[in-house]
Amino acid sequence: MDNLVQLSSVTQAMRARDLLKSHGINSAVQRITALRGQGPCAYGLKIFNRFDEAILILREHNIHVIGRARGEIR
Amino acid sequence: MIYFDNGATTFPKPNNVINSVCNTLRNYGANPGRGGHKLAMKASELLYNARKNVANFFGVEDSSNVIFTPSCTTSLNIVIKGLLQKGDHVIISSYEHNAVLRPLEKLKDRGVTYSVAEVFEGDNERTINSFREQIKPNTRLLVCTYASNVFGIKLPVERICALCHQYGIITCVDAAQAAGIVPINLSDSSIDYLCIAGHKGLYGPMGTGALIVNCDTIPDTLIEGGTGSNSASTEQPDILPDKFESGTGNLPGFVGMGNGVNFVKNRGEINLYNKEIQLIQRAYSALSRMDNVILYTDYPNMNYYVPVLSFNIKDKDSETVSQILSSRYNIATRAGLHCAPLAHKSKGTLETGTVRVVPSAFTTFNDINLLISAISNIK
Repeated sequence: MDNLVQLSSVTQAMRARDLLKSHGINSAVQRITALRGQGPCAYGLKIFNRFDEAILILREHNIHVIGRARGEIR
Repeated sequence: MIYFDNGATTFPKPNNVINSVCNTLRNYGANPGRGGHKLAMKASELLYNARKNVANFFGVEDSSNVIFTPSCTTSLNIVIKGLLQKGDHVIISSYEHNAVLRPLEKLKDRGVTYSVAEVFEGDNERTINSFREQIKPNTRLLVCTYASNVFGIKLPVERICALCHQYGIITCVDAAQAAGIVPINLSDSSIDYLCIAGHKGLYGPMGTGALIVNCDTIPDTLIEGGTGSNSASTEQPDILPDKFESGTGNLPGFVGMGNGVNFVKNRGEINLYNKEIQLIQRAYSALSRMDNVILYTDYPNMNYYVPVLSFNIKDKDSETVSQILSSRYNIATRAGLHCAPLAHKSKGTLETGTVRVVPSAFTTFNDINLLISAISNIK
């Protein structure tokens, strides 16, 4: 599975991206299919490196990660 | 036209603001936070950058706490109507705008009461005591203006908010007339909610404002609707800013507002404040020497005033004077009650109103001289 996480909104996704960038972790915001049962209309972050560390950083900064997404929209 | 109605909205707008609005309309016209295509993502990025700009400007670390609204009035309504419940008491100042007064009047139907704390011009200690005297066991919220939009009187808001916090009272400041003029840093502040207009001292387009949340208490919503994500849920999201940004927002406007913030930052808030107060001081000094001109405050300085001046001419109503200034001298001022009857009641001008003069970053000393000359010719 891609290292893709779902966040609450596009604003949160962009915040998360900027935060990770400040820690040297690259990521990209994209529109995704949400977690099972929640339908489409979600925003996610594709994290390119140090995934586990990235999740920890986001949680430490109170950026809520909804979960790991089903997959990016290609 | 020599424009002195900057208290209503600043004009002209800086070129960077105009260009950014036009650029957004021309090249980034997609709806932000909705689609996933490139243009929508770019639009989302523009809105996010504008939000970050505003957050940085006011010392807010988390840009999610900047909620874009159509106006400062909307921001105030969100706080007032979203927080207060039956039995709650509110304290306001004697210089509040109708954007505060009218929602509170409406909430009387809901069993909310309010008291008015008198502001003592040039005497912060008396003003703070006045607020203290209004505190009751059921006081839930303080709403006060940072500075009067009619008379320019600046309130000691940080001290008033700190006092309220000692009693567990939530604080909300109407900074419509102060944002972009007086440096406001929320990072070490007792202000829980800051309501700002994007189109006055921040030089953004009309139809823009923000509510900046600086505490953990989040009001209830006035409006629910589509937010572009988690659409399968019928519940309004409870995360910021989405909770309060339902529907399509004014992207070009907010981008403009973000660029207005850049304009103020580049010029320097203190520099602008300094220059504009000097303009008002020159006007004040000249008008104070005219026998037929009535002034309502002491000589304005940066300690107790923002650059706003009100006056009247004896035996002439304020609307007539403003009309003469406009038609004969091509000078724009605003007359009447300025949507702030409480302020006029405080100064005894409720029957007459006043003529209000507010400069901007683009006002020159020559403009002020022309205003002085025009007023001196009105007999």
